[in-house]
Amino acid sequence: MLAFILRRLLTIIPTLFLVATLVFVLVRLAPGGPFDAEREVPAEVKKALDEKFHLNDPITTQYKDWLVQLVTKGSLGPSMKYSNRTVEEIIGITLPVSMELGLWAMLVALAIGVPLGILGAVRQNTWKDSLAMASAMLGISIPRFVLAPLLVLVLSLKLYLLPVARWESWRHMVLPVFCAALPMAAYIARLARAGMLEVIRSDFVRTARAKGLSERVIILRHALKGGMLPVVSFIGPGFAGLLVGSLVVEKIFDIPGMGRYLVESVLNKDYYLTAGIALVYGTLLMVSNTAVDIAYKFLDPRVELDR
Amino acid sequence: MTHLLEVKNLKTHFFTEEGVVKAVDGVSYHVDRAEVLGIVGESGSGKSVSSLSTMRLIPEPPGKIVSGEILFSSKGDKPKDLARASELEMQRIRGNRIAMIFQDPMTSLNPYLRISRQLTEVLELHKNMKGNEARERGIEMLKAVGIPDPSRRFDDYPHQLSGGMRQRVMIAMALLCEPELLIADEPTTALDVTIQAQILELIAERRDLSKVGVVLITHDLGVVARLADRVAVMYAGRIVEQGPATQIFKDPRHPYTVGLARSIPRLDDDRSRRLVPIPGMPPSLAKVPSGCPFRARCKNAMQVCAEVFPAERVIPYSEDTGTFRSSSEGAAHIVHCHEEDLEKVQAVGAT
Repeated sequence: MLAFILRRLLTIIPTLFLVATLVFVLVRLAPGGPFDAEREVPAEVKKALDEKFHLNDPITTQYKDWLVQLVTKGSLGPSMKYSNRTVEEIIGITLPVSMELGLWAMLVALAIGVPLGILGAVRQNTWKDSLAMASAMLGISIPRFVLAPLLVLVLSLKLYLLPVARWESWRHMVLPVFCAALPMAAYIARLARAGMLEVIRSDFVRTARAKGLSERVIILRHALKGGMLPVVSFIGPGFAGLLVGSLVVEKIFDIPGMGRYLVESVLNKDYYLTAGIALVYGTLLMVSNTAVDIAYKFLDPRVELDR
Repeated sequence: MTHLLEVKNLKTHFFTEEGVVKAVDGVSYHVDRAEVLGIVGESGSGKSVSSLSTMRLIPEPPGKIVSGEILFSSKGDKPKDLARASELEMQRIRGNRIAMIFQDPMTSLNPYLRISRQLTEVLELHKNMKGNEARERGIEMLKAVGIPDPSRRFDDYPHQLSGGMRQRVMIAMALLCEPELLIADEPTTALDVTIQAQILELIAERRDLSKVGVVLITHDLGVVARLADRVAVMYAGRIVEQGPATQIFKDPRHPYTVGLARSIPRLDDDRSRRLVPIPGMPPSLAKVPSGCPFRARCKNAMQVCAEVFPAERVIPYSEDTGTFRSSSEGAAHIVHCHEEDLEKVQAVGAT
């Protein structure tokens, strides 16, 4: 197990290096630069700025300097837009907020999606199944940028139940977490239903029935583990997707998370910030995938981790 | 005398979009204690559905027991009709009074649970045993079915065992609560030949030691010849011939049984004998023709075969039947074929 984790970490490093290189090059390929605002910047100011951020150096030199800084000092470079702040400072403040939103959203999504999916599978082709799956379809189809304003309109502006925006108390968290979770919950419900259906039809569940076990024990003890495998494998990329995808939610509810900074940094050509956030996402994705593989091992004893 | 299990005119149909599939269409048979009834037939003849009906494990919908009785006499009690029992009553019977072994031990054990869990849950459920008591009983049972080093194997997962070992575990699981009836649905089909022999031996041993009645479902006449006391031959959802195994093998009457016997090789055969296949295909169970379902493949088919399904005829034993196992002694040899009537007519005409 430990050997597996170590091996995985070793493969993560070259992948991250590739991600870093790609991002560094790609953001620079886009036309324009960080200081090409609508209003013309005086020539000497622009010159001084270019000087400060070494933008006149050849791109290979810039790349080399950035990598050396990253490896030796763990520094991701300065932000070009938010003066006097480094990229790691910005990430250090915004990542925890995004993680908090993402984790809660994932928990809520699982809490809604898994029971709904099981219900759909156990009561297959009944009105309960149809209802569960229809609402799942609806959940997937409604974009977050439609859902969020709707909820705000009804729950905050009409009924005064919850705050409209910001990220302060648990009451502030309800709406954004729910908005981020809903499409994910719908997707999980469909995965859980499909997984459970496959297991319920399997021979070993028939064996369990032949033993005289009650339907409840059959579902919970015999079918659940195998039926949840598709959901578990989705959690890894799903969580990373939730962090990226929640930028809409962060924007609407004015949450100081990382997603917003990613979008703004791309628009602003804030090269180092974009590269830094991309690296963080890459790391999160790979770490959560590794965690999923380990979880698999616990669910399915046939899985061997030594590949 | 009441039989351990008596199935009377059972009809199990599946209501699908393509029409009504009459998987079992009027089947009657019985099993006694310490007796093995072999139900033979090819894939799709309804033999598995008839046994799943007994356990009431037919997925409903689309399946449904349309009519008939499944009388089960537990411990000599008054016979109970399982076709009309509630789900709760069935849960008390399944795995407890009637146990079942399935075809493929690779997929019939839960791959996500340890053997120990899968064994002890039966005892917890039906025998109120817990913890160490259940554990010890489980290990004891593994030992009884011939698993070496059972206390170490007990906490294995199914994938850590070979196919033969898994089928032994399945059998151990089925026997844990000392059932009175064991339904074995193709218990050896997925196993190689030497393991097959061992598993059959094991079932025979349980029949003799714990007096369990066995319904053995198979398409393999060799397996039936080895183990069965009585045989029922199924074709297209019906039993076309049944009787003591020795009789059926010595003196098969139904053209289908005769055809089956001729289509398998025997060790003591003359080498020059060619195997004779039965021409044609069995009918689709969604469109079973009227009259005798075998008539399209039968070279002796007559006009009457297209009209009515032949009534049962009792065949007298042939003289050199050999020895019966005591329990099947005197059991009737019954066949459903118009040819038997024809012979009778001819015999009458001759005198």
